[in-house]
Amino acid sequence: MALVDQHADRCVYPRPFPDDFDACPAFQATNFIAADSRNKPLGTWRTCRHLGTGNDVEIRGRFYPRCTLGDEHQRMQWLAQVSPAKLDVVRALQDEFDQLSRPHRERLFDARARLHSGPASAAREPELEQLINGFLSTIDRFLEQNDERFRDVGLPAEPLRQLIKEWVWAWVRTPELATPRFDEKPLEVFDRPARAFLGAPSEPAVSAVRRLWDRPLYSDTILQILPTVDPPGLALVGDVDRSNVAAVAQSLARARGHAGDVHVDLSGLLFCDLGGLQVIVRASQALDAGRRLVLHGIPRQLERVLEIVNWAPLPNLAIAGGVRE
Amino acid sequence: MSGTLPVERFTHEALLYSDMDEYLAGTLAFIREGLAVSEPILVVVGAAKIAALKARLGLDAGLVQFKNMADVGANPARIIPAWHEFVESHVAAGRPFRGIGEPIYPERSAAELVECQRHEALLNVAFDNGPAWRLLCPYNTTALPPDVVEEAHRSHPYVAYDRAYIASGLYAEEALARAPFSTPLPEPPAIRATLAFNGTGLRPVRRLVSTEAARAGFTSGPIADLVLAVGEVAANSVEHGGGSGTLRIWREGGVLVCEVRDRGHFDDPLADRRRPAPAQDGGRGLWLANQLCDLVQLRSLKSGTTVRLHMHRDRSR
Repeated sequence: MALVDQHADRCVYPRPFPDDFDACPAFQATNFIAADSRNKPLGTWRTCRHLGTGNDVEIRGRFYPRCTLGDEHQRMQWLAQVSPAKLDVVRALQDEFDQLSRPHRERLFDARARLHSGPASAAREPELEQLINGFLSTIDRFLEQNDERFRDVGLPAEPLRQLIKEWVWAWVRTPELATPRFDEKPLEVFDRPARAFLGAPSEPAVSAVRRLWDRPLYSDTILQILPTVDPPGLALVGDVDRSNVAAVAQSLARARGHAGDVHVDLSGLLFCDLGGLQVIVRASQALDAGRRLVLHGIPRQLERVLEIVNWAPLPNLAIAGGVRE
Repeated sequence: MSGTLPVERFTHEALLYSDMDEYLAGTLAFIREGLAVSEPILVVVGAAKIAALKARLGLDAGLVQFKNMADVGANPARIIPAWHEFVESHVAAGRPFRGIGEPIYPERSAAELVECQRHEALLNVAFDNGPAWRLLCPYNTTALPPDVVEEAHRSHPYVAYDRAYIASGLYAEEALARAPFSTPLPEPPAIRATLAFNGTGLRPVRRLVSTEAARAGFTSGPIADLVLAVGEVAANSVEHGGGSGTLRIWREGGVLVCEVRDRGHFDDPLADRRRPAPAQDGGRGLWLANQLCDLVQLRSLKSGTTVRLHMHRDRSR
């Protein structure tokens, strides 16, 4: 058996996830009720929306915990695409929803157990339907009250309501320990990156800039600086703050050494403080007339901040298309 | 108005009015006096008052520049930069110019009111040594609490009553501009989160602000803005405030407040309202915070510096 892990998308974090778990920046907690073989609830477990099961190709029947967002780089790319702030909105909504729905889910769990336990199950359907309708109207109120927040994260209320309704019914009809079969089709109304908020496997965005992941210029727990080849320059992936701004300045100085424009790919940037922006601005002002520092995939917020602090427009500093919302 | 003031320096005048008739009489006389000698005029007041003034001015309204105080000065720390811009655009012409600004209105929250008063006092510090121009600030004596009207006498060297100016006997110049700066802020209600931080990394600060703002019901735009603003203030603590600080977060109704305290001290009362120059080294954090947040309260006492950043959940209020 090879000691090297073949699976780049393996979830490397300890499970079950502790209550204060925050080591994985893409973690999205969700509670599920585990049951015994007679459908009696055993307790509530905290898991991650993005945790799936991978098949080991070499050993049939062997599974591994798989991150549906992909490998580390794909996770960062997805996070930059949806933005950490949106993930926090989703996390908060999930917590509020869990609180609100706990009593409903417990009652439904019991009812489902009874439904699937005896032969005269059909007689219990009306009771179940009443419980489900009560649950769904609670969900409706929650969606209505938080309409702006759901829209903000790319999950408009109406299709979400439909989806939850289908999921609840699919779950109720699933007997015993079988995994409910959810139809993936209704997910397609949501924007691609937002689907992962609901646990759908992500289809990683391909950056327009080719980055050399295997040859980082710098790497710490919150930032990776990668060389890019097409166009030539560098990519900032993660958080830039005062702890690593010197490394950013150094990499920019090196990139200035090559001829032509300097390209900086910000499409994987999660956060950048004013000190980080200052070294980027300084690097652009250090270029000879005619050469530019070109920012790719700048988040909308940072574009606005450049204007607020009087750094835009500046000669030698250009913003390429593809501003991120 | 009967008493015309000497305009060899900046004059900051309060207009005390008790109803709309008095308001219009006072402001229209001030505007027409300026129009008669072709002075550029900027009026920054509420939307209803802009409409009333335009109706009375008729065609002359086109000669006056109007701005809505709700847009310009929702955060009162953004008003001085707006006046700076006005002054800079007219000072070169060598002609006199004038303005009307009404930052204080009854709908302001208690914290905003305190910051508006601080703004009124800081106007004197900001413009006293600059070019000569006149700024008139109307105060509604019927709707505002008496102590706010009394404070107007302290922050304005001239006060207009009943169509005549008198010099305010209470005006206290520089000492006053600093006083509110060192008056402690009220103790917050229930604290939701506290975090001590230092130079080893500010990511936990950002995480906590983001999480608490999301839990308070904010959408991603204001969350990211608050994270950036608090991050800058915390970075100031690490760099200039003794290397460490404490973050506290709480809610006041629909407002989320993030407070950063450190052991540093600074005494530049205009530090947060000067538009930064592109080449300056640092010194942008508080300016940015004021542009991103709905209110920023800054207090520097002997014991240390406190910065409170307020964000309204309902920004269209």
